[in-house]
Amino acid sequence: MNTETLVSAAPVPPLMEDRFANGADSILRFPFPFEGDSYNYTVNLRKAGQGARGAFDEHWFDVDEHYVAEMELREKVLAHDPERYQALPHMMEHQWDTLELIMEKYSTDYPQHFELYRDGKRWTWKNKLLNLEDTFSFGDERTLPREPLDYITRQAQGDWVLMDERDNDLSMDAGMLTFPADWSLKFDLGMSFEEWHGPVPMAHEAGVFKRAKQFLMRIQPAEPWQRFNWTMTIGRRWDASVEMYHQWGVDRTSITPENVGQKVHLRVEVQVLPRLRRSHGLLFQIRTYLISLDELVTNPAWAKRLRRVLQSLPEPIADYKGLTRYKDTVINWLSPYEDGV
Amino acid sequence: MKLHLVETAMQGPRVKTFRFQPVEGSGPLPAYSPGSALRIHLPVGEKGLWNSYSLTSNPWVDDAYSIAVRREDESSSKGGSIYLHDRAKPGDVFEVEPPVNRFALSRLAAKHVLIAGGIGITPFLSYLPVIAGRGQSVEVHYSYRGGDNSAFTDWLYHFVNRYCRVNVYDTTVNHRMNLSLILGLQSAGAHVYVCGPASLIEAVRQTARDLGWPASQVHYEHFSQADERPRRPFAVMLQNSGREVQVSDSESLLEALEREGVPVTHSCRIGGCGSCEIAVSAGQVEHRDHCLSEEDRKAGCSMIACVSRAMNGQLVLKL
Repeated sequence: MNTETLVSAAPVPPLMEDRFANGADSILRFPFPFEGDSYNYTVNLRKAGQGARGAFDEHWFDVDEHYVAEMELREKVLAHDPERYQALPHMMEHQWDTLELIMEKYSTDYPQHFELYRDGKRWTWKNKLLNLEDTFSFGDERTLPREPLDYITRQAQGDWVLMDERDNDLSMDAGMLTFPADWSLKFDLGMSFEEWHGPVPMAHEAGVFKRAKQFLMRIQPAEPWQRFNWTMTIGRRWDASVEMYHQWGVDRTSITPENVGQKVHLRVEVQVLPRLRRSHGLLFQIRTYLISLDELVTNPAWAKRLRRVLQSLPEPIADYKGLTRYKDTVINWLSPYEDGV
Repeated sequence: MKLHLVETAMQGPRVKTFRFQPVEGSGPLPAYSPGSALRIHLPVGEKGLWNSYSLTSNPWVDDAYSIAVRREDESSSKGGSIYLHDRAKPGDVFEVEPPVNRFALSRLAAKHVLIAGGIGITPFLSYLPVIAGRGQSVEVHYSYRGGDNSAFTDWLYHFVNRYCRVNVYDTTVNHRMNLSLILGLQSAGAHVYVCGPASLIEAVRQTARDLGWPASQVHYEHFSQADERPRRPFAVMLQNSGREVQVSDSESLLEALEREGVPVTHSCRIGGCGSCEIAVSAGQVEHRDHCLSEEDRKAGCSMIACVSRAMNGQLVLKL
């Protein structure tokens, strides 16, 4: 048996530790999500793109040192499973809105990497990081190599979900989702807001989703909002999708006091929610950041706070996030950072 | 952002249209969706005036913003529409805010029923080309007071075909809409949109309720956006500690509690997310938030600390 062939036929390298290791600067600007010492499920909304210079939220859509690695990994995931990209037929206007917004923001916020030239409907887009240049007619999908959303999100960090707003509800009707935390766009496509949040425990009773939805539906184009979401992932595993559960689910049983610092990662999603201009849809960018506990404890205040949050985490939430099997190992490993203050 | 007024045109004796383009070098105008409105600053009075007008153009074919303004009578106006009609001229520069939409078109409606009173026709000027482009069915019902106020009827008639019906009503000759008939004849899945005087909006909503229309299929344009109620000072008693906190007219309850070191979970600080909801055990709340439901308000047991205040000077909080 030729084991070499088997290895090279694996669709996606399970871990890309080296390419996604965080440099000192990435650790410094990591979006540490906890504002207090205990777990509290709130919508934690704030205006997007108002962070300090160089911070993860300086701009609407963050581009960082992992840009090229993340885009190459996205291509590999899509080559193996093209259904990570989904768009219902009524979403074409939302797709163009999204393409425009990403091109406009990237070229304005990162002019050293991206350029956009508009001559009426004739647009030229240059992506110097991926060495791409395309000229197309805005609004005419025949002039692009792929559908507009597919085209632009292969060049834009983070996962992207497009919601249509109708009948006083939000509906998940298109998206590019290669790096989800234990969910699937193909499964959720077409669901309403409360439907796709169905699995989240405790929050429905607290009325969180009803209010969150009303809030989102009041967002206007010039003023996007952002919120944090977080979980934990074993290894620097970007594609923790339901589709790949058979590969990563078992990893959660492998955590020992010896490997916890290297293997367990805090996974933070900075979710940015801009209103789309022509379609009046809502864009939902899920910008994921992974940091190993070894990297995280270089900031002892983060280590102490993470430990306290994990200690206060209600059981149903820990189960939902998939932390139950190794949460206590993490808490014990972080105990040197608890100074009692 | 700053815009140039490039063109004006009369649409009948009382309505004038205005077309704006970006000032040199400021890049293309942000696109917008049908039903969007533009807030424009007008140099009227000491501080000037911010007025909001529906955009009437189509962002897919037009690189300008157009609005249509009815000249109000001196007695019933703060002077904004009079300034635009009498003083504004091509070449003038105006400060505007990016478009917002609180009256969006439902994308997958089986049919659209558009009901307009007078100048309330303006948001539908941006709806109609989009509805026609999607090949959806539409009915327009447009009522006005006399021929002087019948702007855009010729434009509307251009859309008439087997998918688009247009009915006009001149109330000065007692020709009025029969709302029960208009709404009663629609099939399930139709959406109704109403823009015009408050009495028309209320009549449409009431008729739709009586006929059993789902609320999510009844759309109406809110005219008053800003909350102009005065912010009065009040006192809160914190029931758990027995402390009293004074809230001045220049701060919110949330700010006063923060100043006194009483921690309250919060997030958006604009009355939208509900994070800073506080339980109230006594006193009447002046609700100013957008997140509590009618039932929540009737129950009177909670308030949103970042915006809401006391109706009668004091409240007792379960804090």
